[in-house]
Amino acid sequence: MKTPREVLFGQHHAAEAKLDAIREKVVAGLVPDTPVHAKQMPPVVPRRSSEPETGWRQFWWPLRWHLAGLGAAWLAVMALNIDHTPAPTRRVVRQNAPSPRQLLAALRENQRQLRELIEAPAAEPAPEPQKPTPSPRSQVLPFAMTPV
Amino acid sequence: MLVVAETEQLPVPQARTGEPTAWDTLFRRYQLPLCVYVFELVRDEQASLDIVQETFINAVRHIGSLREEGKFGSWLFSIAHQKCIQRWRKLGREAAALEELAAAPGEFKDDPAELLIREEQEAAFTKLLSRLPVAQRSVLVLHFVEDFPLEEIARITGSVLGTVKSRLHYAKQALKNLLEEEME
Repeated sequence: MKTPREVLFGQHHAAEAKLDAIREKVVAGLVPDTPVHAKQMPPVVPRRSSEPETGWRQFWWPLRWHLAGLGAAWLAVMALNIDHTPAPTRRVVRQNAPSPRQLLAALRENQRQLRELIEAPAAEPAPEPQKPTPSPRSQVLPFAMTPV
Repeated sequence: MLVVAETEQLPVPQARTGEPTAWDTLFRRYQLPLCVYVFELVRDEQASLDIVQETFINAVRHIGSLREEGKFGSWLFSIAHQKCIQRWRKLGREAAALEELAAAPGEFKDDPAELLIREEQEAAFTKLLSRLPVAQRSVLVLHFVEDFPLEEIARITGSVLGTVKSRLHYAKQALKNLLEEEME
């Protein structure tokens, strides 16, 4: 005959190895000679001006994964830009680039046009329009005496 | 006669200072009763092991909230009980699990050994225990595994004393009847 306690314990004897492992794991997390509640919840030390590095670290530390993610995203964007965008541009530029001979010809043509523009007015100056000089009143002939 | 937590010399003061060997002794003492109790509430072996681990971690973290060192056992069980309730809530079974029997307290004998089980009845006993309502099963297992006083059981389960008395009475009665039926 067994008591209910013995029956219940008997059913869970198989779990004892797992329970031992759990116990050892939890106990291993304890540091001897340290108050447990103090270890679990360390006191909040106010940030001092003489500890800027620590304060800086405390500020950035919680954001480390976010910053790492952002950094990775930027690297990905840069990598995509380097791989694809400049290559066709360079190819197009290279395809459209004129030969030195064409460049020289274009330059000469440009110079010639400029020369034409500069020299043309000097060679054939346009006659200045003559201002009509009014004749004296005495020379004005009456309509009837106007010579035909 | 069962050894109850309150009569034992447990290294609770040493545990308060974070002494690992003290915690090891305490956990070694309670790991199996806790596992039995939690398993009877959640009926899942892996979940019960997880809850036992969480209970240990919480005990270490909140040992400062333990007022009476002699009540360490019931304090530990109350943490485990709360963890079980949290699990029920997570699984959406809170309403069913917390459905209580509103019966008047009955007379019962305060001896966990009064119900003796023959070897051939063991399987039937555990099967029948699982068929009891969780509220009755909870007080019955606490009574069986640790022989906690009714006041302690009330504190662990967050119930009033009268309710615990009635649950225990009806649970034991139901179990006896079921065992008798099983034997016939």
